[in-house]
Amino acid sequence: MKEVMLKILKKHKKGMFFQIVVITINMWLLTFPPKIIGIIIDLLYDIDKNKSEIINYTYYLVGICFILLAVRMCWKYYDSYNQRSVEKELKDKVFERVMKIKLSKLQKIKNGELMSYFVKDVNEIRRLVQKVLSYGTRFVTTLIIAGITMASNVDLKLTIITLCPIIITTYIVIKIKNYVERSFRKSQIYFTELSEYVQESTDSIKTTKAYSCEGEQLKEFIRKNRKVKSSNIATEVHSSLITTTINICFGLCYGISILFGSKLVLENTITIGDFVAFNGYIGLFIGPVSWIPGVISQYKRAQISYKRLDKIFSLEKEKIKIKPNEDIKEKLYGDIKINNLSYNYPDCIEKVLEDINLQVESGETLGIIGTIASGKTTLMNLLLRLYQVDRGKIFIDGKDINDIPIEILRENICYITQDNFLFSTSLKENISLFRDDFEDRDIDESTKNAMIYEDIRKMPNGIDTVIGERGTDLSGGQKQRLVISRAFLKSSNIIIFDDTFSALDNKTEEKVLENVKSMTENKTCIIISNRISDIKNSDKIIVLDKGKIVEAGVHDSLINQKGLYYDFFMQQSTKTENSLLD
Amino acid sequence: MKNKTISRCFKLIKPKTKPLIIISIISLVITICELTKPYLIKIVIDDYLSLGIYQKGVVTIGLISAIYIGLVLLGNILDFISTTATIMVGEDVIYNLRNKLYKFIENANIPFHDKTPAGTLFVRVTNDVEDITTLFKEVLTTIIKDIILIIVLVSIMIYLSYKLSMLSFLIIPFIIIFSVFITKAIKKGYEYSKRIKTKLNIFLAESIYGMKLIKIFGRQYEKQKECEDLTDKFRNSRIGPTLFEGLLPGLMTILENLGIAIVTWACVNSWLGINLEVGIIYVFITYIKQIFEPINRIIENIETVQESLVSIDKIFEILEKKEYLEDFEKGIIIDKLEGKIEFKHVWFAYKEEEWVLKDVSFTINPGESAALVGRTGSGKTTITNLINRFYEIQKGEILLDGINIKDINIRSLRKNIGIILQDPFIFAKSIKDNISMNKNMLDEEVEKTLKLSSAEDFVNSLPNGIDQIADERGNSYSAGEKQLLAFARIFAHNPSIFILDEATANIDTHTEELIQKSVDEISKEKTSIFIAHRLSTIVNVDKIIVLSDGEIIEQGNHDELVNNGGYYSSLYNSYYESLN
Repeated sequence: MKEVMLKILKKHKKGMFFQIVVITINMWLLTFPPKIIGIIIDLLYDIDKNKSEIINYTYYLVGICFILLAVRMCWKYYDSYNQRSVEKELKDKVFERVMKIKLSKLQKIKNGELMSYFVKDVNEIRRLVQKVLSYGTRFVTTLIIAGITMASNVDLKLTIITLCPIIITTYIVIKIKNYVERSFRKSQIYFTELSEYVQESTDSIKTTKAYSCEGEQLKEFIRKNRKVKSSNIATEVHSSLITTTINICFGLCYGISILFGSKLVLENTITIGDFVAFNGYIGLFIGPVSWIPGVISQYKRAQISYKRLDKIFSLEKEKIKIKPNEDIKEKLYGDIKINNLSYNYPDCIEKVLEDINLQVESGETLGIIGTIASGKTTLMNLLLRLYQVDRGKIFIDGKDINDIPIEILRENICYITQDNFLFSTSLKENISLFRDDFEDRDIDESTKNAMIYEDIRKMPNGIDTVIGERGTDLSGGQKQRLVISRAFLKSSNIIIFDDTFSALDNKTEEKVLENVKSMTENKTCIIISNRISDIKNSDKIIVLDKGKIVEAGVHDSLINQKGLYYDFFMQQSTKTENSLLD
Repeated sequence: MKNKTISRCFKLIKPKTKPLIIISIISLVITICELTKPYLIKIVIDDYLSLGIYQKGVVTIGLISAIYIGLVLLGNILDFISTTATIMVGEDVIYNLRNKLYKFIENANIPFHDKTPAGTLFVRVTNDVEDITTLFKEVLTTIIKDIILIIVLVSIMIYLSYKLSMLSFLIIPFIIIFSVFITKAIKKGYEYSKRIKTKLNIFLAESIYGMKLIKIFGRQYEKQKECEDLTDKFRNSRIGPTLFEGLLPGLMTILENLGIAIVTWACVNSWLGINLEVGIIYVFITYIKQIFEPINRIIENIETVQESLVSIDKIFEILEKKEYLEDFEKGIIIDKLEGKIEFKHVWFAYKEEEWVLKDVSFTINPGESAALVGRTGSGKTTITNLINRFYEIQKGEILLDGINIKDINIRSLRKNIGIILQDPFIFAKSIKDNISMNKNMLDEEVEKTLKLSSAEDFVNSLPNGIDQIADERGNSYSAGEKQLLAFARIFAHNPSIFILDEATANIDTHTEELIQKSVDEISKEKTSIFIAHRLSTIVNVDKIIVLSDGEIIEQGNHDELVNNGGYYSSLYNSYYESLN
């Protein structure tokens, strides 16, 4: 995380430097208007004599403001560009990192949590960069430039006396800001609790009514609502206390400057114009003083976010080179051999797979059937190195898979998973999975093979129809066929279908299986399914139960064994009728 | 703005009229304090410094400074008080509104909830009410003060020199034009940027969700490109509106100093015969600076006010649908029903004339059990929803113990009916609270119900037993475990009528046995209705009611119906054959 952050900051050091320079110039220019007004006031005492000079000064005054506007725009540009660049690049880096983290580590973090790294934590860091650069610089330059101008143009002693309350106030305001932060966090928590409660209430309305609990639900709601109310009031009152403190502070400054300033005027040390200008200078401090507590509280927030992001960067990552798929030229032939494979998830003693021995040669089809949680999917995850497998256990083309670079391994295995997750983009992109080097013809062909071509053709925008837009919702079967078509597009030599035919009706299923068969004639194909019909024609079938291969053979031999496979077979032939009652 | 909206706003604020009037009066005092301050400096300049004296009569510059500081203290303390008061008024209005809204939602009938998606209600209670909070927090606290400030400021300026005032007011239209124009541009820019942000966030969320897929297909390169492309677009979309945001104060500084220049020119050239003391010019310059802030703030807030008004309308549209509220007071209160259920020529439709039940009649005697059989959409669940008056029937009558259910108090009616839905709802509370459902129960009593419902083993295996807090919607428990808890609820409340919508979800055989035990236990004494999916349940009931398209096509016990040779017998036979 530290290196990433430093790299990003370094990349934009030029822009940040310009930002600081522009802010300094801006600050310096801001001291001009009070000074000019002071001079004008002095000159006004003898209008007739100074007429042309006064008019010149007014031009000068308005002119300065135009220059200020230009400088201000530059500042805003750098301000926006720098902070958003930090945000952009940090997001990119975090995203890149998330894609590289080992699946076993990644799956321990909730999706919502991962999302909050992007939407919340990166933003907190961005805000800190912005606040330090803009407000911090503003505060420092104001103290220096306005201070020096006041002292040199007016009077040193007066400057020191007037600025005392400002420094004390800054300290007090920082303290109050702490309270605001705390009560703000509290009110956020209460609000979340209230929101969750409302969600639960609307979802449970039937149960609540059935038990006549409306009154009690309301009582609980009022209790939660009261907490929200009082914590909101606390936050607001504390914040307004900050404004009050700052206002009183500057009121005191003005009061002091009236008393001591007019004494200096009477002593003829300064002119009335200087006296007026001095009041103007004091006004320059109001902004920076009210911002500085924000910088400090932002630092605290960003610190927490930094630690959270640091956690992401410290998670173990896969050894993978991110490059376009078309650049991966190495081909695997497709002979798979598994030797005495046992596996337990990290931090778990229980074995998910035990003593697996298996050999599939190119051109063969392997069928896997098994009870729920028998380790079927885990076995596939290991084959793709989504989970870490020991050396000497799984070989492809005679090579230990740990010696095959991950990107090559995965490019050569096409694994269609059981959850038919679709991105909310066009159907085409969902099939090609964002690769744009496929011919339209090939994509059409793959959809034909997956028996989804006709369905797509009937949609308003065909293959370019965007999922989820204006009610284009696909049925479970359509989704599954869409996902299956990915397999026909990818020219891998090992193809795995993990329970991907469950939502298809018998007729469609039969045709898809036929197409799969002809496609995989010279390839290695693994079909995992709970339906006998999907795997009965496989060259080899294994039956998994609690992580072990309990039976192996072909359909007929397994039926004759009258074991688990036979039970599945019997269950499934009766099950179709059972659903009649619905 | 519609008249309706105004009256709704008025309704909202009416109870708080008195505090708001007091706040307005305090604001007036604050404004006077605020505006006297530059005038004091004018006095110092014109009456003391110009003349080179420190004391005039008894009044010294020291005294004036003290008054100045006094005004600062008074003004700010009053300001703090009025702000606090406004905040409290605002939060109180919001608090009451939210309670009212929630009460409505709880008391509204099921047809209302069918029509209004839960998500909408959620947004009304949380975000929409929050929008109104902003109205009070950001607008009401400042708008009263700002309006009073502008009025008093303008009056004083006119009083000091109406000619100079007229000249300085020349810049006000420009303030308004610039503000309105730029605020619009900023809004447009942010809207565009927000769309890109949404896109980016959807992209991120989906990528996270589909990370395994990305890994399997090795699409890290493509995804990284897409990410960088979107973050780049987002960065660029932000720069425009930020520049506009910077433009506004810059332009205001120009206008402000232009105003000062105009005042100076007028005095120097004696336009319109203006000839003023230097101090007055100072006061004018200060006042011109002061008038910018409130005007800008009001323009900025117009947007917020509009959004809040939309939210107020949305909320009141719900609150004004009084016809959906259930009446909990009316009707005969019956402590314990016998449990006789009669449907007499019942017709029911969710939507007008689309009959879901057509002329349904049947009787279930106390202690009997009945099964509703039929395909999805045949009206099984509807029947159970009518008995506890989740919906009101259009024709015919439903009688419990011979009393029309319309005449029974809703609360006491529902207390007598225990219903288990397919996917029982478990609250994010303790097991105990989930079972007692706000009824006063001792721990021992809760444990007894757990024993009756065979949920004892499962609950005891939890780290905190009956005090274990469930996850959101009971997600930590399996479908079977939720069922068992729902049965415990029934045992705890001991209703006279028991309705079970059998779960179709995958439940392991062991839990299924436990559930069956509970079902047998409950249906022993109570009038029971099952929406059955298992033949074993159906075979054992006293009466089977076969429904098709909202009509009863057969009723009777298992043997009768099988011998009858109708729909049920064909159903049963085909199942029976498949077993062999």
